[in-house]
Amino acid sequence: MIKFIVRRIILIIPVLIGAIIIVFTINYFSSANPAMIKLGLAASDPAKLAAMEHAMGLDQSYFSQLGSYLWDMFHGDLGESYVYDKTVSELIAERIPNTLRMSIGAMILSVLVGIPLGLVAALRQNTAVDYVTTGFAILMNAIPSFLIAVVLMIVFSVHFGWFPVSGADSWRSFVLPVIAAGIGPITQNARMTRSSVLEVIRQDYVRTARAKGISENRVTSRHIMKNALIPVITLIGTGLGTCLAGSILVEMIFNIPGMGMLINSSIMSQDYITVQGCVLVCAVVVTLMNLLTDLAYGVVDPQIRARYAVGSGKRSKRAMAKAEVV
Amino acid sequence: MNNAINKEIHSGVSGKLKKRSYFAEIWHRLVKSPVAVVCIVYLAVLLIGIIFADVIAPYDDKATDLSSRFQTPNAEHIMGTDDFGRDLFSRLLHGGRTSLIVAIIAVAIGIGAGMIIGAVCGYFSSLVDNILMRFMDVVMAIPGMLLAICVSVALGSGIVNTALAIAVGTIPMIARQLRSSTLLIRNQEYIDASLLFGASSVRIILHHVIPNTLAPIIVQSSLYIGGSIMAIAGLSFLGLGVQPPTPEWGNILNNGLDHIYDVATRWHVIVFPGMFIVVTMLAFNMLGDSLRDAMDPRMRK
Repeated sequence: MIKFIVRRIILIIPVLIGAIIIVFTINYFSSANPAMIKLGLAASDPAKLAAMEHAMGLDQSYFSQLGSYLWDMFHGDLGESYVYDKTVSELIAERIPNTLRMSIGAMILSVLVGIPLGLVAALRQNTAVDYVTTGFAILMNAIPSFLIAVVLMIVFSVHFGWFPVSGADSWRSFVLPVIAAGIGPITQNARMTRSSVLEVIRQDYVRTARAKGISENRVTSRHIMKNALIPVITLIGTGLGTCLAGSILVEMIFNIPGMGMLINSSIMSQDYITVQGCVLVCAVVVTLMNLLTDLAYGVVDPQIRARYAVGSGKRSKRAMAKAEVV
Repeated sequence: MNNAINKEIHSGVSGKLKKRSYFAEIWHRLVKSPVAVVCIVYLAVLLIGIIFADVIAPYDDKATDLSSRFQTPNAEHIMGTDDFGRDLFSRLLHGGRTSLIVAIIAVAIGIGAGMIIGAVCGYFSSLVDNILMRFMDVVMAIPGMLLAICVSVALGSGIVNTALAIAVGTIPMIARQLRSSTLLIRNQEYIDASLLFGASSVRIILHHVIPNTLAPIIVQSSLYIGGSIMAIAGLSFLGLGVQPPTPEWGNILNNGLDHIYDVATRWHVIVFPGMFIVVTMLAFNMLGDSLRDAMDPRMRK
């Protein structure tokens, strides 16, 4: 098991470096000149512009710029904002708590609501419950998260006045944004759970369990859920990415100072290094989440556990045999 | 029906006939589902509407008329007017053209590049495969929407640039899928046969591998188009993507959202663009689902 964990952790390092290189390269070849943006009106003076380009290291080659960006990044330095008098790391550190609160909240919501919905729909396949749940999932999947946010805000904040319209002052401000960002992943989890449960429900071992006279609740919890949830777990990890992207758009509707607002204002002021930093931080969060998912996968799925237990003597053989039985 | 099958068997080598009957069979199963028929009809009407937008649209989509701002739907303007007094219905028709063109270009780029990468990786399955697939893993590590934001910021606005920004995220998904199906096909006997005939790798990939993996990808493109429409709207919402005054569903909706606090009197500038986006996405998604069901061999009777 430790071998599996170590292997997974080592594998994400090249992925992260690769992601940094890709994002850096995309921005490097963009048409905007960072020195011009930083100088603003003063950029009309060629001498000043050249001096600023030199100070920012823009006159160096692509590889040396990439190298210094990577080097700085490993020290937690994402460069200096072109517009604000702050480093990108500071800007992100100020904003990221709100975004994480929202996206993790949305992810938890998607698990707590999505999986039971999918389970109920599958257990009562082809009944009204199933049709309503599936219909809801299909409909909600087609509505952009920011549009859901607008509707929620108009109904519950403006019309009923139950929640604040904007800001991030109390937990109440986060209720609607979390729902808006979570609806997409909820529907994905529900659909995935439904199809996965439907697959498992027809397996021989479920019939055997019923034949043995095990109570229906126990069949559901021990035999169906345990096997059906394995593919769903993968989706939870990718769900965080969806939640992050969703909360970035939803933040702007509810005026919550998070990464989304930062990305938006940076786009408007052409502060591209900040955009680059934000995208990278999100990629790191998502990659780490995927790692956690993979590890959880290893814990849950005995087949993977067994594969990595090979070669450590008697115990592994037993684990293999156990995996085959399951 | 029996006759057709016999004919097919007798004509054996003629791949064309076989392929047509395969699609005909899928089509036959598809139109049995009422949901799919509704989606096809809606998309056909929409397509006609946006292709002939110049003829159908009652007003010029860019003509401003400040004396008739924010009119709610009435006999003259069936969907009302926006903040510049432009006819909303005309703008939505023309905007649909932009949105769909961007979505189709995005899916075409994504599928084209993804298929080539996937087929090459699956066919050669060596160092090239390793390098390209690790690269795809890296791209997949960045959430699609954020990657689109990044590329869109770098390339700037415009139809092709927006399409490219959205396509980048779909390339790895298609490449992965195509790679796995190529791995299956590579070991088939007809590949060995063409190798014996001296066919080059390029010829085998283009004439044997890609045509045999095409069907599921084409079907999925329906889902990808739906996803792209959503992504375009998201980019427009952030102020990226296709810029006004060129109408596009996302930027029309975004423009409407500026009047969110006056929703009681100006509801139409949010409701109609939102409706077009949601219904069209719904149609593409449900059509994609029905197509997938129709292609699923387990659903065959």
